[in-house]
Amino acid sequence: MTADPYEVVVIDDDPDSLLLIEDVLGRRGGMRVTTAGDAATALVLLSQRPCDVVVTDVELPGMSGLELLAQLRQGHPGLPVVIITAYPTVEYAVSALRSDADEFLQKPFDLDDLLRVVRRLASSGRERQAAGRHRVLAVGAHPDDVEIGVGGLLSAHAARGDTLAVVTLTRGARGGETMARSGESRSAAELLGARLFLADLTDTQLPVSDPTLSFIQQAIGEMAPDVIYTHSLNDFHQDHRAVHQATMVAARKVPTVACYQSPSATVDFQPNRFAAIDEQLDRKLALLACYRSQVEARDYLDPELITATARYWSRFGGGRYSEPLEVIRDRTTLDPTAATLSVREREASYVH
Amino acid sequence: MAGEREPVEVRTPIERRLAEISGPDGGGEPLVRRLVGGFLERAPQQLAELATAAADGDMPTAATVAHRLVGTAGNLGADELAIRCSEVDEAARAGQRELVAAGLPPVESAFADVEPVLLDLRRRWEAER
Repeated sequence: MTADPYEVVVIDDDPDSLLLIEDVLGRRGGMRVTTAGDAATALVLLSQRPCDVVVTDVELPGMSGLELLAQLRQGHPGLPVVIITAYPTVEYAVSALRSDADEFLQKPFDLDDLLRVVRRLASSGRERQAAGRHRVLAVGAHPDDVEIGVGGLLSAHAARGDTLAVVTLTRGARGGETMARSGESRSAAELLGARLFLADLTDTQLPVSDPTLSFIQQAIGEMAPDVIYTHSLNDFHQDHRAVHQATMVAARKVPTVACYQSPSATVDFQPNRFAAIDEQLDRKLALLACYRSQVEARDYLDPELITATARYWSRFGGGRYSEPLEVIRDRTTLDPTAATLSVREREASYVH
Repeated sequence: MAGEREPVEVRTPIERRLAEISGPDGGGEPLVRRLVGGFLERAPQQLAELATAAADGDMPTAATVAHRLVGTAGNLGADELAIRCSEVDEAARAGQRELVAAGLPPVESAFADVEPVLLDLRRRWEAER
């Protein structure tokens, strides 16, 4: 089986240098190269797609390459970064290496050196990733449930190359025309890069037992997930509670299970883990915008409310926007955003 | 002759670098032509910008323009030009206006050596069409 080509993001404000690096890595090296003229654009790209290596110039408009490197070390720990610069002095090399760059190349760089360095870093990075990559299943009763609850977190999983699937048990007949809603579910799953298991059970009448249970079991059997997100039991909606209970049974051998917040969550919803989704918030809103038939009709899909809710939870989770989770059990390293704090960790951070 | 600089051999490193970009299969040839064409088009304008910034004492702009020239000249194997530009870049970052002004003639001379070589290459490619 042929491995997927390496994904590389190259940042340089000089179009000629971008062309040259793109040619070396893409045409000669067979890699998939995405280019950006500044660090802010690169950060958006990196929140949306998997990346094996970042190659960046130091001198960039706005945020410098070294500032970008520092941000990547926070948001994408372990992502290899190659710094390239035309600065002639060694101070910049020292500064870059102190900032934890994986490699430093000086312009004009030897083209074979560049190819060799990026290949080596991508290869070792993939080996590390394969060892720590998750298989994630998000289970929801209705179209849009999982995106409301963990749209940001799922986007973070996608960005780090985890395998994703979404189970949706009804086509949401109570909320609109089922054909349209099915199409919206597929669009959202496609945008997320997730496989979609879409059942057609009766909206508002989901049982805990079969066929709900067997459908979830089938998805778990095919996906073999090590992480599952599902509804909380602390929820007014009977379908949400039924899906929670069925998932708890079906997922009894899955190492990590956590419950997300729905708009119908009760005051008893008590999250004990918070994932910062600063870099994924726009992606979450884009996922929710796929549900066009609902956006106008449902107050809870108002982007302002979604954003405000995430903003509120950040008081526990750090960052500016967070998604809350009730963690049932966690036997993996559930840390896709690298900024996920437990309540205890967060409370400890208040102690001065 | 006193006051005249030593001639610098620029053709060989440029041709070597362009051959490297072009690759053994010649697959990078379109890129080579694009880089050379872009440089010939933009470099005179950038040199004028650099001279204006130096005259105005605008060191940040002088540094930015010189730095960009370091990269583009280096990409094409115009090593002497890249070195002279990096000297101006460094002086401008240090705010040394006199050194920047003193660094401009060597930059212009180095460009004067490089430009005919690149124009000659472009003429040859056009003749091959």
